[in-house]
Formats: sequence, C-alpha cells, structure tokens
Amino acid sequence: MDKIDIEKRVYEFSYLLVPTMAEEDVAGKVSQLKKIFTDSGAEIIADEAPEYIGLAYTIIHKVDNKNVRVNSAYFGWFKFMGEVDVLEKVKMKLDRDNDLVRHLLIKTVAENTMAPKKLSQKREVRKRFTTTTPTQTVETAEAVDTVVEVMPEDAVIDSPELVEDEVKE
Amino acid sequence: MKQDFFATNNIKFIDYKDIEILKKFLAPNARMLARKRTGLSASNQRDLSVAVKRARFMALLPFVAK
Repeated sequence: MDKIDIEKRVYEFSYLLVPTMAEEDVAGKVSQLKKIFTDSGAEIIADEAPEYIGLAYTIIHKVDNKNVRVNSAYFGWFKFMGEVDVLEKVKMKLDRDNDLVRHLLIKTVAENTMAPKKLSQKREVRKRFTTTTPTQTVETAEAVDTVVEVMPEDAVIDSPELVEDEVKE
Repeated sequence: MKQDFFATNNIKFIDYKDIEILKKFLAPNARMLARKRTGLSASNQRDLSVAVKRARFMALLPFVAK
C-alpha cells in the first residue's frame, strides 16, 4: 500500500511581543521564532517585521506566576507552508515562551491578503438622518431693509389688535 | 439595493489584520453590525465575523467600547 502523501498547507503565525523588549532585540527574537518553525519542517513564504502598537484593551500576561498588565506590544506576523504535524511541534515551544504576550496560528492563503488602501467609497453602512430647513440669513443692516421692502403691503399680519376688531364686527 | 463591499472591491479573503476595513462594519460600541445593515452576502458576513473575532483576540480591536 502506498504511503499517503500529506498535503502541505499555508498557515499564518502572528504574535505580540512584550513591550519591555529593547527595539534592537526584536529582530533577533523574530529570527529565533522563525527558527522554531523551520526546524520543525516549515518553509517561511511571507513575513512582516514587528511594529510597536497600542493594544485595544489591557492584556494580563503571566510571567513567573506574576500578572503583568500589557497595554502595548510589538505586533508582527509571517506565513509559512508546512504539514499539519508542524503545528503540534511548534505549539509546545510557543506556549512556554515568556516573550510572547499572545500568538495566533491560522489557516490562510499564500497570496497577499491585505486589501489595497484605495477602495471604492460607494457604500455607507449607516445612514444618519439630517434635517435641513431652508432659511434666509441676513447679515448686514442694509440687507435687512431689502428683505423688509420685498414684503407686500397687503400681507396679512397676525396681531391681537386685528383679532379684536374682527370680534367687534 | 445594498451592495456587498467585499464583492465590489474584489476582496477574496477578509484579513483580520486589516482593521480599517473591519471597523466599517462595527457599531460605535464595537459590536458587529447585522447583515441587514452591512449588506454583505451570507458567506462574507461569516468570514467577517471570524476576522473580527481574530482581531479582537490579538487586541487589534476591542471587545467592547464605551
């Protein structure tokens, strides 16, 4: 019976490194992480250097049984191709790494998945209702006079005096 | 008729790292909008929800915003 050929798949590994790490040490740490994968039989196909970012919420990172609150971290990722058993091998090592605040291993595609910056602005998710009433704005005193002149002389003006006259009649 | 954002822009794979795009589909309190509001196809809405959840886990997006 022939041996079943295990298909290679594309995965992505993204990570958050502790902010206490010096910036010059980050590149060394990333190459160390990549080595864990290549040693397990994976092939790195794409990567992005870690970037210092502020986190959307505070993560509690446990280091030597002490809780450390983390508000910022170095976020980076790389894609790799490998067999399924690669994941099992690397997971153990990654879980023990104290420099990793958090990491994520997912299935992805080899092509670039980041959308181009310029996208069509056709759609709007939420329509906000705005009410506009046509108004005539008058800024200067001369303009006020012209507006008054425009008003016809026989225009009906509601006033209490007129109403009283109508009642008497 | 509402249009599918990802279909119009020819985006085949919704990436969790693309938070600027994901934010378009979140309410001000960081909850995901319903399909009725996003106008996405059922398949893209499912992919979007996975992407948002991954972004939340990696602290790129908040779970809740006040």
